[in-house]
Amino acid sequence: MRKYLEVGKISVKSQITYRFDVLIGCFMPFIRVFLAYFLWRTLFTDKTEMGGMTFPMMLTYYIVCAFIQRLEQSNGLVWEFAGEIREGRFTKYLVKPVSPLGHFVFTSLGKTLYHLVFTVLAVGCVILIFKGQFVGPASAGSLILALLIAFLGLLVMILLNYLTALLAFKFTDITGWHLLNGNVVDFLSGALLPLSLLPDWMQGVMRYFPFYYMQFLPASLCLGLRTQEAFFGLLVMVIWIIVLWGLAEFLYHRFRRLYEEVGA
Amino acid sequence: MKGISILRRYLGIFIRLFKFRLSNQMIYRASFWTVFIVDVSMFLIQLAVFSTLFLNVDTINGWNKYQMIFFVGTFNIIDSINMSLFFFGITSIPYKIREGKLDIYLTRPVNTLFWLSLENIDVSSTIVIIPGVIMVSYATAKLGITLTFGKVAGYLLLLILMLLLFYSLMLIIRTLSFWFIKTDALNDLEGEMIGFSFRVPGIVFTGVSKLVLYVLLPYALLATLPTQYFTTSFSLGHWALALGVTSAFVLISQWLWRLGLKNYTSASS
Repeated sequence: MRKYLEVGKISVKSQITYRFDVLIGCFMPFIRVFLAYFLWRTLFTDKTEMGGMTFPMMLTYYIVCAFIQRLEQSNGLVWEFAGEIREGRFTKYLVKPVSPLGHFVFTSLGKTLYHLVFTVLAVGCVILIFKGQFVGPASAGSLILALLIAFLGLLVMILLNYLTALLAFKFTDITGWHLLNGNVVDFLSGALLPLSLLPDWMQGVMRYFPFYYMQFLPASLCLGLRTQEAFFGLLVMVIWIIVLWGLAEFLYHRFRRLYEEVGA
Repeated sequence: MKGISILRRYLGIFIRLFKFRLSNQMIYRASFWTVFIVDVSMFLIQLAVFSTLFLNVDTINGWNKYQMIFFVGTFNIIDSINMSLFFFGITSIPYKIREGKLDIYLTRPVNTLFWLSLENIDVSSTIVIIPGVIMVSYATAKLGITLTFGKVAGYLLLLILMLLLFYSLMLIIRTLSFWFIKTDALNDLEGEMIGFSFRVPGIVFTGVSKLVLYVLLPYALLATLPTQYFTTSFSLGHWALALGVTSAFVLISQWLWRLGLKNYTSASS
């Protein structure tokens, strides 16, 4: 475990090199929330409630989603990992006593930890700007549950991104797969629209998949909504993490045989 | 006369690049189909977002369902042309700058930017233009719009202008790689702006936000202006906005590119 904590520490340190990148990234929550503000302000012109939310709740929903989304930092790692496979630099994982999956997970978490500070500051500024509209957490209990589920969601996303990166062993160019992963997760996680706007039967199906719990449920819990779904959500997420972890290990052991070490 | 011969030469290069990429993509068929699937998924998600919204509202700031279908169709046409022609070329520029791989392009007797932009043409993305055209045609019929030569020509002209604007916006972000090693966040920021501007029509913005998203970061213009032209009223002011903003961003992107090249130090060679 200690070696993986070292990997995480190195990841935090390497982030300090890219200050410009981190600084620009701080604007992300602003953009998503501002654009959502203008869209929903228009849609709420002659309505007081949509999908069980008022306009301030909707705005808060997007602020929470923007916060969670910004903490997910494994997205950029996919390109790096796939590049290493493609260009023969993956060999370093084969000669080191570390699991590529462990390396990937802890590098992602290290980046998340570093970005957490800046994201909290950026989202704090967004909350200050919309302080008249921002709805605070419904209760400490629902906030803790939301944070816990969001963390599990983060792990699921890291695993999905790792699986995408592994495809580089088979397909070499994974641009399409990675974009597809991003597009689908964006919609199914509720980052684009609250899932409560979808028909009930669709929400019912989505409860058995991890996407529902990545952003939609944590944001809803913060608003004091759907609290009865929290424990089921925890269970679903734990099951999915085990399944995805197993799948990742299985695929790695199958795909690494295809590694040609080109260019190494 | 000289201008025509240059044009013919570059057209010839474009055709060769296209043929080369087509044969290349046929070798890597999996890649060909994944890009196609990505484009279709984008299109379906776009449709799902608006269908969900229209389950809950009747209009978006005065635009009805069919105007929104037209908007989504226009988005798909612009996006598929962007993905087919220059998306993969432009997005590879930071990598080439960072790794010092730009050297080989600079030594070729062809405009570097032309080559870089068009060397990764993606044939599979062109297919998504079909549902875009179908949606635009369907919405036109439902809105009862009479087609005239002027109407179609104006729409096509606006599409070309918006594509030029899109290209320039993408290029500006990539030129920053000449000065900053890592620009991942900028790419994410751009993705965010494009994603939302294609999902949120520009008509919802007012005041300062309109100024920002129409002039300073004009992503909101891309699919909104052609839709506004075709489905509602379009004044001379709108034309001035489209021409003015596009010209300004084309000039800025070219200036930044030239400035960046002067700063290029060829990292690894």
